[in-house]
Amino acid sequence: MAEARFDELIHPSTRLSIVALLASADWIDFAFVRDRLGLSDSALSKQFATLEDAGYLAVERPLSNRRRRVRVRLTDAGRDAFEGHVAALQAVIATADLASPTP
Amino acid sequence: MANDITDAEARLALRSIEERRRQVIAEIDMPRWYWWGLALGWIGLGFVTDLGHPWVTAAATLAFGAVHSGVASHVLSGRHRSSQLSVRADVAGPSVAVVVIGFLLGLAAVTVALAVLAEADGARHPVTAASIVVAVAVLFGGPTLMAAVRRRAERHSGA
Repeated sequence: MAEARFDELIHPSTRLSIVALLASADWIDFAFVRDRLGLSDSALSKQFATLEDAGYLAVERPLSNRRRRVRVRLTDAGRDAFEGHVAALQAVIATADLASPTP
Repeated sequence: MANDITDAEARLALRSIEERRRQVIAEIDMPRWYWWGLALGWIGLGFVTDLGHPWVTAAATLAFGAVHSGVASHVLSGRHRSSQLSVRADVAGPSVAVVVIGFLLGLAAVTVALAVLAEADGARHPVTAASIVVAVAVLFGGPTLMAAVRRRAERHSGA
């Protein structure tokens, strides 16, 4: 169980969605993330840049069938931050449930 | 900051995380061509067996096994259906390959049993007939099996 640590960088809904997708995969193609989140290329690139600057995400550009593809993956730091954030969210809920137990 | 968000917001965020996780789980599968190749190979092997030349049957079985193991090393995990992502092993579950291999061994046993029954019934090409039945089971059963793997992965997921 990760140590609960609320992460303000991850919490905004778009970045949370990106990191949540990446957390279940070894790597994901740029197009897959863009299509699932319904974002434009530029909007997604901006979010990727923010996460990459924080050291949470790594961008790779492998050559496949003579086409340059863009793959992204969470770094170890990004995975730790995500797991800590999930634990923090669960802690908020657990605290609320303790404060108002259901009969 | 964590104290600044309400439990309702936290629940919403966790639901969103779970939804994204399900989108990745939905990608756990094996390529359609794998099941078609397996079904056609199965029928071909049955046909060769019915020819009644043990050496040819042995060679065909070895060739089938070699091709399958070459392909299986990449697709049997169920993590690489498309070239757009690689599902994490702990999300797909550790035993997808074991489940699929168990499925194939079961089908091999069914093929033998059906061929024996068909031969006892006087069929001219008992192994081919049995293989066709099993090939249809592969085409329908394979995707059904992978759907069950996805359901299990969803049950085990939880943000």
